[in-house]
Amino acid sequence: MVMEDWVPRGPAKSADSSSFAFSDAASDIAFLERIRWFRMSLIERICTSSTSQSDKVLVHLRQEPTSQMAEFFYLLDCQQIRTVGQLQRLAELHNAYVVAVTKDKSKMRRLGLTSDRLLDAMFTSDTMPRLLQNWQEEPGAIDQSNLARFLGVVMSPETCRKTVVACAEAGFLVRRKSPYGTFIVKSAGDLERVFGSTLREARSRNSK
Amino acid sequence: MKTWPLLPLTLASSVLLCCPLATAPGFADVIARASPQFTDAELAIIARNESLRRTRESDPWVVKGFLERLGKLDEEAGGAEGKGQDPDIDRYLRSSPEAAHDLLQIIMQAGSAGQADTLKSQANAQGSSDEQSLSLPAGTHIEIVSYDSQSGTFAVSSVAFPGEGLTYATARALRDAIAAAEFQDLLAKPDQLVTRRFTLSKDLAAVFSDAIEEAHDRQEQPSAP
Repeated sequence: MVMEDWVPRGPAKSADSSSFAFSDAASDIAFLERIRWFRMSLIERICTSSTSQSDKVLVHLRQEPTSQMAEFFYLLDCQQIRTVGQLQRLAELHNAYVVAVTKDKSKMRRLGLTSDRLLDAMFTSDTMPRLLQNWQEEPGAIDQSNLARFLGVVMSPETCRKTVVACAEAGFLVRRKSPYGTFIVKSAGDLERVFGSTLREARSRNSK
Repeated sequence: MKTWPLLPLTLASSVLLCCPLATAPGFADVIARASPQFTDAELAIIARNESLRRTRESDPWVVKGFLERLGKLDEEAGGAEGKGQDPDIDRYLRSSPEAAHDLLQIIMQAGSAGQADTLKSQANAQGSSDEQSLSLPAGTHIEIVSYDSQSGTFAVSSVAFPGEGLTYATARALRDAIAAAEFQDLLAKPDQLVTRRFTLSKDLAAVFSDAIEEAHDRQEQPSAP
């Protein structure tokens, strides 16, 4: 399968603030309130839904990487990434994006990424087959190191591992060791459901 | 909690793709050896990061190893200013909003393409006549969704290659098709390819002219009752 190049959409380059009127800000503030409410409620609900209430687990669940992981699984579900072909398409788009970022030094600096970390986040001829094979054998199952690759631009592999471990202890992810010694991760579904329901509630909040 | 001061350092170490404990001397060595020598720059970093100040007292070699790794990372990533109690650590702990936005876009792009595939499959299953088939030489087959004769732009739904089965049209797919042996002297310029809509070069349009006209004519024809 071949893949189109990474095409960024709608970058927020600059805003025309010269005609901005603070008097019209009521709706904007309501929107801001929704964003704040969403971030607050998401963490609360993730912690509440956790089957483990140990401090060690909750400390990780309250951190940004857990929200990011919840968003990732939510998007996979909502964007209907179901088949092996769709997953391969996602991986190839991801690779194209990584290549684009490595060529953009200023973006690398903005994202706080190094070329080594970016290259480690790419799916290679060695890792891509394993990604697809795991998914083929059990749809939704991802090798932990491949999950870290998908999330490589937003968290380090070690942060991903710790987040996966915490989410597994919380009952959000099923994490099992494969015969090859790697860890296979699959969402139990609650994490994305919490994310989705909180997002929807935030969207409809104050909109009546 | 006793472990709190170490937590940010531990997390930051993860981000730095190294475990300072792993690079620092063994425990016995730490006991035996004197405190590491910090440079002025490192002392300045320690001074402005609370976690480093605290950790230096109990685990100076951990701090030393961390700072060495941080220095290398800053060298490459160009350390931007951070804020808060641990500015030099926090900036590597924080997920970049730009990166998060990019990840969202990637999944949306993969998802929209996947949904297009699903719709295409459904249309094929229902025998939809919305898509015009265009037969091309040398076994290449492009299905045209729409064609604008004025701009020479057409949108394709799928490109099939002999031996590869049906591959849905992407910029790369079309480029690959065009790069196939029979079209090698008619390479399209990359900037003529925009997502799922393509503009043929004049030479290529000439090769495909009959087929495109045929597809265009089909579009013009009223649907059968």
